[in-house]
Amino acid sequence: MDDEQETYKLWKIRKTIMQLCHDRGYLVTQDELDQTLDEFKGQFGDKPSERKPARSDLIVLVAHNDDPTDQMFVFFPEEPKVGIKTIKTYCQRMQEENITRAIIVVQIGMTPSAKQSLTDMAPKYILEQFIESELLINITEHMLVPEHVVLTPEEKAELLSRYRLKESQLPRIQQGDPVSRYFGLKRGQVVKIIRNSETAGRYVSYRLVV
Amino acid sequence: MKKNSNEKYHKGREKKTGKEEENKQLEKKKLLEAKIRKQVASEEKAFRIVERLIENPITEEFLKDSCQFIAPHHYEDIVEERSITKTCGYPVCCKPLNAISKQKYHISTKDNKVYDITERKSFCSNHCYKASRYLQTQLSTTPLWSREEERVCVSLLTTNSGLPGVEVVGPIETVWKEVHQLNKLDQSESKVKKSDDNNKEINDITRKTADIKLKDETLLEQGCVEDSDDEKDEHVCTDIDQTKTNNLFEGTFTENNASDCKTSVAQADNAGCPPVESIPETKSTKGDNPSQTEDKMQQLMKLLDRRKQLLGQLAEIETVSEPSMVQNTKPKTQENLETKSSNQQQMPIDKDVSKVHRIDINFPKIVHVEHEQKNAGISERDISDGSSVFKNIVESECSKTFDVSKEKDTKPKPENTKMSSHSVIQLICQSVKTWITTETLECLQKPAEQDQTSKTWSRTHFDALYQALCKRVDAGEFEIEDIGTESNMDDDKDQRLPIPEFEKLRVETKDYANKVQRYFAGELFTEPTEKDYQENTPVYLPTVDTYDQMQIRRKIVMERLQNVIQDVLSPLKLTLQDVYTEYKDMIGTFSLDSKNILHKPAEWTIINLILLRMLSRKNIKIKKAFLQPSSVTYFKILLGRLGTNLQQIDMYIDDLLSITN
Repeated sequence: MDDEQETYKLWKIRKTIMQLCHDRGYLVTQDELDQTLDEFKGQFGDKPSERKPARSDLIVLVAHNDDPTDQMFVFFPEEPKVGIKTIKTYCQRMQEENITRAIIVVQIGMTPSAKQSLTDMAPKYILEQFIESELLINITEHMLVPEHVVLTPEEKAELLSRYRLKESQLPRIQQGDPVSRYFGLKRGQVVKIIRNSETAGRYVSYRLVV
Repeated sequence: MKKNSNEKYHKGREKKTGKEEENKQLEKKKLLEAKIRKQVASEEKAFRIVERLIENPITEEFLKDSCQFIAPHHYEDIVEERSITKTCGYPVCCKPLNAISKQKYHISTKDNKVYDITERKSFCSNHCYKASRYLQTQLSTTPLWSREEERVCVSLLTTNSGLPGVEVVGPIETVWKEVHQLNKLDQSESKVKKSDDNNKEINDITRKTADIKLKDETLLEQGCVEDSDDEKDEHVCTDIDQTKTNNLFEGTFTENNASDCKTSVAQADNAGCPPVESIPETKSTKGDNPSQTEDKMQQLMKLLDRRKQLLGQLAEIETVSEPSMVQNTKPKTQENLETKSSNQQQMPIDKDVSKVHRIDINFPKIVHVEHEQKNAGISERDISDGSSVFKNIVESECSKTFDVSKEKDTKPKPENTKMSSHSVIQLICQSVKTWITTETLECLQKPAEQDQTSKTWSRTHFDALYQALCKRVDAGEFEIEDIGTESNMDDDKDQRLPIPEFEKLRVETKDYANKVQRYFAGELFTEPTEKDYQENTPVYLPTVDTYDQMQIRRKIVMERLQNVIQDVLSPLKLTLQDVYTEYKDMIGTFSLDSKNILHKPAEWTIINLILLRMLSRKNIKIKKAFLQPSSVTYFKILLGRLGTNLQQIDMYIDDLLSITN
């Protein structure tokens, strides 16, 4: 793969990541969201093969809008296949900086044991993994993907009381669903899905993450 | 009350059962939970082990113990994790991985195999790869939580070997092995054969006359088999002969040497073994190692000695009145002697050795005579002109050698060379005599022109008669045609147009009439057209059998004669075209059989001379050529060496022609 393609790919991935962070409620400047390829090249360089930029240069640290202490890392490991060792080094860094959330963008994949180690750390440290190819486009911008809005715990309680529902009576969405992965949803959260309808104009449904 | 109590009891009982069921369910749940927890725990343990095995260093004992708690897929994980951290995938090995190739396949030129090295990339060496695979196959595939009782025994591979990857190309190995075995078998068989043949050789030598005949044949066959050797010999010989001879003679001479080598090979060591074996052996005989060659020479000489003794006895026993027998022994012995001479030429180092051997054979005089003659030949070179004469002198030497050999064969006492040389010519004449038929005599007695006309006279006469007949028939046909055309002339003028077609038709009908005529005349198989009659040349139809023996023999004889004819023709100042047709015609009349066409090239020269002399009785041109002073001196020299002259040859020829009469 030549440098031009690689740079383009990295730019797209980073852009999607920025949008993802933004959609999750982390603070991302408008400049970063609107970054063009040339600006990206200017900032990081255009020769990935010569480690300009190296993947480690792309690491993102974003803080939440509401709670600046709630921060999230986005890691770009160098090695194509990520093993336990890499995960452990990331964990160490998160511990050092007291950050509980992280996204790992892997090139090819993870070893089964590395995946296991992610789940092992689950309650304390939340690590999500994305493959680079998944992030080349932002799936939520796709025309067939309806608008998803994550409800806050208050909104969820209001919803359940308004319709006198139990949690289990809501329609469901899997945690592994691409959109729920995009938003980093946890079990028990509820998403509001807004579809366009010919008859009603707007059709709203709620789904509980299982 | 009772009822109530009963009801109560019932109720109580129901409650009781309900509680029991609940208890049971709870127990079940607990059991299930415990089970699941156990499963999870075992998985976690496996994960911990995987984590541990990724770290260096690991002792073999620990690896063996931990194999108890992991499944093959865990082991795969270990290998992968280790390779990611750039250490050898085999847990016990703690070498770092460096310089991982980007290739997917490894092509081994040593084993002629292709290996898939995607897996091999995770290891530092072939041994680690093999050991790792060895270990992995031993791991149990049963679920981790059900492994409490069973004990997995694992051994580690210690031998230092391994393949560079997964073999891609199929099991060619087995095929190779089979081929090897077959080859070995062949070799051993040929060896056995070889020793057998050696024994046979010795036996043959000690056997009597009848056997010698047989053997000659076998040797000839062997000569046919060992063509590959001949090529090499030829090469060597051409190098040697370059200075002495030009192309034509070279050809004959190389043939000589080739056959000689054949015999030497056949006699000295391995007769009748396959060419693969014989090639290196011939090399060794010709090789630089002089002692080896000397040994072989000595062996050869011994064999020759024995043979000569035998032949000497034979000559004493059998008189010249049995020519066929002598003929059979003749080429063989010639070959033997020429082996010597050719060896002399081939191996200048061994020249002295071979000379010594000659003396050993107790024919010093002959050698002496030969040398004298050599000198004489050189001195006479000045008198005779042209390179061809020189060629012939060399050849005459050659003929001399076989001549000498003839002496030895027929008469053990070599003093009277003249007698012996006479016998050579006599022998040749005898073989020529067997060729000559009445047709030959006819061919020679009639003058050339007359001969042809007389042969074709009957045909031409018949043709004339028959053409007259055809004309008559045609005339008759014309009349009929005329009548037809006249009657139709007024009606249709276009009818005249196809007149050329009538011509054609006439020709066709004529041809057809010819055929019918010939059919009745009994000439079914010849189909002479008008052209044939005009040319008056006899039509040679190909013989039905393509392997017609006579045809082949004629071809052989022509070939041999043509090889050396230039030697005789050039001093006569004749060209091949001058004599060729008559020559060919004459040979066409010969009755050749398988035994009387075997001669040495030098003999062929003599035969050529005899045949030309025979032709000279018919052809004035050749007769004149023989009377030229240059040719007279030439033949004087040539035949003088054989102790004879043209007059004597003529006498022989007279004898030949008269006897057949």
